[in-house]
Amino acid sequence: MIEFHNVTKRFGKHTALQDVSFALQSGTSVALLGPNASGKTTLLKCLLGLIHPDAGAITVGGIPITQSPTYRQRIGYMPQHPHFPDNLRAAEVIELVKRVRGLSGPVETPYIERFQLESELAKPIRALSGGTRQKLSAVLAFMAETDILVLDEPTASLDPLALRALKDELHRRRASGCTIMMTTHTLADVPELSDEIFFLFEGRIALHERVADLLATAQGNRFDEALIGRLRQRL
Amino acid sequence: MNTGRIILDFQLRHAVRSRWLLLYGGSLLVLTTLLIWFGGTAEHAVVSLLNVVLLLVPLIALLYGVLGISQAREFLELMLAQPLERRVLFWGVFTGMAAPLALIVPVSFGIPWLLGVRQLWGVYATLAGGSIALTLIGTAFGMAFALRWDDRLRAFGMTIALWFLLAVVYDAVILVLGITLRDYPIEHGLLVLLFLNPIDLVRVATLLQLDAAALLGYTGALLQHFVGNIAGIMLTIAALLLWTLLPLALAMRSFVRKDF
Repeated sequence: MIEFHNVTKRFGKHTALQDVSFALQSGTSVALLGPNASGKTTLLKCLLGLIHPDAGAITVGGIPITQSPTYRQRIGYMPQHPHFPDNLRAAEVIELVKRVRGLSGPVETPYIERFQLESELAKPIRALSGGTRQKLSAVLAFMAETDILVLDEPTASLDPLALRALKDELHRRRASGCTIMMTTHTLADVPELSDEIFFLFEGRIALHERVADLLATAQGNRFDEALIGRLRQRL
Repeated sequence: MNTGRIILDFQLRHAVRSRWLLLYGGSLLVLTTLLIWFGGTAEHAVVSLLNVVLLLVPLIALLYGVLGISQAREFLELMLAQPLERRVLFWGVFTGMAAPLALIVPVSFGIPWLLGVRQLWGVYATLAGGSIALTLIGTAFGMAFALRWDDRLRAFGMTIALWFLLAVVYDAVILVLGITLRDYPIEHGLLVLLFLNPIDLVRVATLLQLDAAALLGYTGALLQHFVGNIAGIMLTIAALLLWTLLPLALAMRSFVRKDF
């Protein structure tokens, strides 16, 4: 279980997260929605320990994340903007993450095939397109078969085939009980990939609801309309 | 292999392929070769080379430290999302960045020295040690500034200001002090001030091994007395070590506390 207890984070005068509390059961897939600068990425980065909250606490499996970095062994992460050192090859970046995580064997091979990265592995990173770097980032996030996935706009800049591969992998992970936290602006993907949504607005969770419950309120099962209707009631 | 060595190994591989480092090493090699072959006597060439080391090495190291952090921000973010201690990552990144840069200088002027000078090996050792120290200090300060200020321009501005202060302004201040207070016994005070500037420390430590030190008169004799013996050399090494540890501690503190 992932728990946020009254987490607050300020950047100067801007409050990115304000007293955020929630508990996410294991095996739940949640979409973090909200306008730009509403605190979605900050929330994910707080969970990863990349950003230190000014107040509050975060626990994973009941253990405070400040205790030790070993909890991150359980987390696969796809950042919003994947950048790697320009003069290394894609294969070397994969090797580095494998070694840091203590992974052995060809754990990355199935993902390299799914994301069709075979021909890109020997190329230096500077020669890879933005989409290809995003695929590499997906391989890095998935190959450790972690039980938590933290994905920051994972579908951005992926081509249709890679997008399908990513969605297939997320379906497989959901079925195997993986906990998924994902930010997205693509509302059409939410019903397919998520059980619950958090809608963040000005650093607070303005709406936390099950996707199925939201869809039940909409005509023709349109998620975007259901979400907007519910937000009008709340905000 | 522990994670620190994994990061170091990776950083070294990254640095070895850096065109920027290759360009730096190549330029130093060409410059040193020209100075040694066309710089007159060995001592003249060494003094010219000393100026190159004192001006260029800290500046390049400072800029390299800023660039190394600011260009790797997203990658550091990815690495910090792995089960790694921040301190371990910091040491891996610093050592991987600073070690190749520090070694490139003594190698670049060592080759023409070996072929052209073939003497003054004590001076070479001091210059090599000094350039390594100045590189470590500069890289650590550059990293500390890049970690302190997210705005790359501001971080670059601060590094150039620091370089200007230590490499240019400091000497001017000492000169003004020396002229203004020439009627007073200020030599001991100047000796203390010497330890407040690592660039000056390397300059004096190198000059004292050359005949040029005689030109410094009473001050030179005093420096020779305090810095030129074993205790002085140890004190100089300790001061340079402190100068390295200070920015490293600052950079480490920023790295551990920083929001990525």
